[in-house]
Amino acid sequence: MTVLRCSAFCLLLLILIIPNAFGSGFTFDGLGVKARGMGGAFRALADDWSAAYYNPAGYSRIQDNTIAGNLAVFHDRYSIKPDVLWGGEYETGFLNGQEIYNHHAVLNVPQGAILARLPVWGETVFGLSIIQLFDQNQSWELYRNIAAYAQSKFPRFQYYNNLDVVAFQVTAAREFMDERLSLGLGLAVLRGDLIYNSVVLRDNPFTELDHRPWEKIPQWYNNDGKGWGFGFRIGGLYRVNDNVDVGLVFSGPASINISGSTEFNTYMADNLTAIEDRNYSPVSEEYYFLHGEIQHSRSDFETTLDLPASIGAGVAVRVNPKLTLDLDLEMTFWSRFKGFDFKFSNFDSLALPPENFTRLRSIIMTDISSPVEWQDAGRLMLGANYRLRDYVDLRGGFSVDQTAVKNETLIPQFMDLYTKYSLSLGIGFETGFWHLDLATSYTHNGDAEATAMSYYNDDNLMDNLPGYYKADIYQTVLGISYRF
Amino acid sequence: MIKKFISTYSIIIIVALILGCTDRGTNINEPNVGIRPVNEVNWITWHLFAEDLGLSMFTTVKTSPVIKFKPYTPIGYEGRGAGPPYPVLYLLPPFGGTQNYFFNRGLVAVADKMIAEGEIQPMIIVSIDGSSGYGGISYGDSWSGGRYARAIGQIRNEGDEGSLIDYMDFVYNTDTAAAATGRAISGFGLGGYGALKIAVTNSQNFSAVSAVSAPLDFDGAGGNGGLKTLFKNIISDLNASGAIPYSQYKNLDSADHKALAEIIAMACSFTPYVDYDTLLWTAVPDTIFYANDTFYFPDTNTLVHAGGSVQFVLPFDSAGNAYDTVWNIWLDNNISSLLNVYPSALDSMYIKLFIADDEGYGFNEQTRSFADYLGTYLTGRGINRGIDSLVFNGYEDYPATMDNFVYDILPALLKFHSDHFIAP
Repeated sequence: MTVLRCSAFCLLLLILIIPNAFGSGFTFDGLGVKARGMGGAFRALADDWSAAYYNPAGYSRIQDNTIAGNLAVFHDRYSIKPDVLWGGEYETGFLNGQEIYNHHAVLNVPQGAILARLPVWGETVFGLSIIQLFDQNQSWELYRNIAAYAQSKFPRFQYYNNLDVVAFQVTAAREFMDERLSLGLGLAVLRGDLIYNSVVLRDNPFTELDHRPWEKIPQWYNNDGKGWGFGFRIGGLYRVNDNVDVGLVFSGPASINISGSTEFNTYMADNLTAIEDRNYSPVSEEYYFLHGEIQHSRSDFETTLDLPASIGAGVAVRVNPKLTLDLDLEMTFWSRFKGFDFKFSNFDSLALPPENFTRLRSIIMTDISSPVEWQDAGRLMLGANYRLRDYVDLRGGFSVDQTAVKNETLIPQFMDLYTKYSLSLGIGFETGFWHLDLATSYTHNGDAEATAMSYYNDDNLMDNLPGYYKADIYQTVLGISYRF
Repeated sequence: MIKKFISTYSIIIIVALILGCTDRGTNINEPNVGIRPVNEVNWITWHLFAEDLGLSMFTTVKTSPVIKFKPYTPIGYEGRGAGPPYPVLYLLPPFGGTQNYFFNRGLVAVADKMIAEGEIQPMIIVSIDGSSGYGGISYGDSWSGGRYARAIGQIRNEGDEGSLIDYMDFVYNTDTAAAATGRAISGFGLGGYGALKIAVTNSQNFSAVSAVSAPLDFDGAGGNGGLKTLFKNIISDLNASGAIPYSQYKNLDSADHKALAEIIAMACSFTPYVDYDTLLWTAVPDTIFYANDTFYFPDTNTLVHAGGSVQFVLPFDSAGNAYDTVWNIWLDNNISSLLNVYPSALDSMYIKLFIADDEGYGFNEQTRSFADYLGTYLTGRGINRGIDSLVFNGYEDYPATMDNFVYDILPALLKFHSDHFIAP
């Protein structure tokens, strides 16, 4: 009871000291069915293959060789009501005042692992797992060229972030101190895939033609690239007594250099009367600019994805032979993530304007930054597992997340809004050597609002997207494992 | 128990999946529907004004005494006699702006969108060329400088050979039956001055008038501002760049000397100096009576030395101080002076003033002080309605010059005039 009281007190204390509970960047949490059923509170239990993520030390307590996998199916229901006005007053082209939904998608992420207990260093459990550590996948249409501009269509995926970081992790764990202490280490090769689309509004360098609505030139870009990196994860489990375990896990920071190709659409003004008025030559740069065309170009790009370290801890209590509770805390150091700084090179010269069109080329070819200023974020998870029958487990969980994203840095590519509350339910069946599990969760983000444009560097490109943001996430995870 | 739980659990998941995963679409209400590309709307046309402009001291105008203009007609307009007539708004650009000025700044998109959305009633908008003459017309009323104000604003009932209004009412499907209630005039900058001048001197022909950052109060709020401040600034600029030789007169509308060019255009309208020998017109009308040697000050020509048939007198000396004899003639053209001649002109006319608040020539301040003056003036005439004005500010690194924000001013301006057209 003392432990229970302490746990309840800690939970209450944490809720009180995290009044602005923020979410946690782009961490993917659809990992492990049992863990998801318990709201992610699994660091002090860590008794299935997903311990590779939650606490590598947990592998040491898995007695059987195992092959396992799970499929997370999720659907993000987001909306943004843009409120982007120059000077708070003048039309920009954003679909202000409309509650725009992200494109419909039911996404799925498969993951899995294989574990074996081998007589190495005494007896050590090894595992090879494929884990999705980070994920973002949402696309939007939020902008149309302002009425008097060229009414050219934008690609459907106007704003898009499809970011996946997958760890191919080798985990090793063994027990010490008469099985009271377990330690585990995971070493991972990280694979990052990024598709990142956005619209930037560049300053019009044609000063004689920069009156509204042509003072900004819209440019849509699509970066599609991939890269590799390394990561590690280390964890410990300590059995306090027969009913209480505590766990501690640390995941190291990592960086992935991503490179690939970029496609640009730069939208020129459609102002033929200005050509007529000023009698621009058909071979002049101004004529090119005023003729309402879309300038298509291509290049290579490079950027660096800096991933955060995190530290987590948990305490698991076996209240009685049927009921187990787990309370976890995690802090992710999102302040390390600074957004993307895209460097372009190797432009397809045939698709560019002539070399003497320096102003147009400057619009098209200048590097683009998408900087963010995030903050470290904490997360509190509470879960329960109840053994209803010898072959049936029921699970439930609740979590509260802080967001890494400050309101003024909101952009549609990272939908991590205000306080996130998540409710999970799960069920597991065990028959012979087989485990079949299912968990489903609903996560509600507190609404967030960016009220003014932000600029974090000197490129004069807007670095946020003011508006009112909402987000809900539905997630179902199916899992199966086989012991041998 | 287990069966019941599993059933309940399954139902929860199914309901959650159905509610949570339905396709909502994007919920986008597409903007800009039905907006025509600018080049699909009408064409430049012109009208001959031999009497009004044929004695211009500008050779190009004299040999081709026309005013160019470009009418915007709404979607669905089918020509004269087809369907109900349309109200007409005459739009005068700032100094040097052509008939394309408003088209270059989104007029078609703004008007098409607002009409489609029912924000304004369908109307014809006549965009008039303000670039002819010496770099731009200033809506004077002299034979030598051109009688633009009359040419545009009078009704002469002469069909397609009359004034611009006559021409439009003869050729286009305009609201001629309702006359003034279906006709309004507006202008930007010097065009705003032209709009007020035309409205005051032809008040029976217009139901509403508006102006945007216009020189409506030549001597400013205290009598020592307005253009007097601009004169000083011009001299200061010229002292930095040096006197301008005659050979460069034609280039005065460049960015460096645009203010001077604007003042010269006004001088050509208000205080021209006419070398009678170069005029083809032998019967000199009375209207040029003041253009004699008395007003020709060689001293001012240390600044600009006029020659040939284009001669004018500037109202300030080489130090930028107003020269009262000439300046007083300019003040006769001030709107407040015109109201002394036509005291009831604005009594029943709807008026709105717009201010782009970073207008480099101080026309914004003149518009402000005129609004104050006019409110007091109308109150003095027993008319208690405030003068409605709307201010446009810029944003970071993008100042609110009138030129920059035409696209944003037009919706408010069109809305004002639409609201005050009365259907026939």
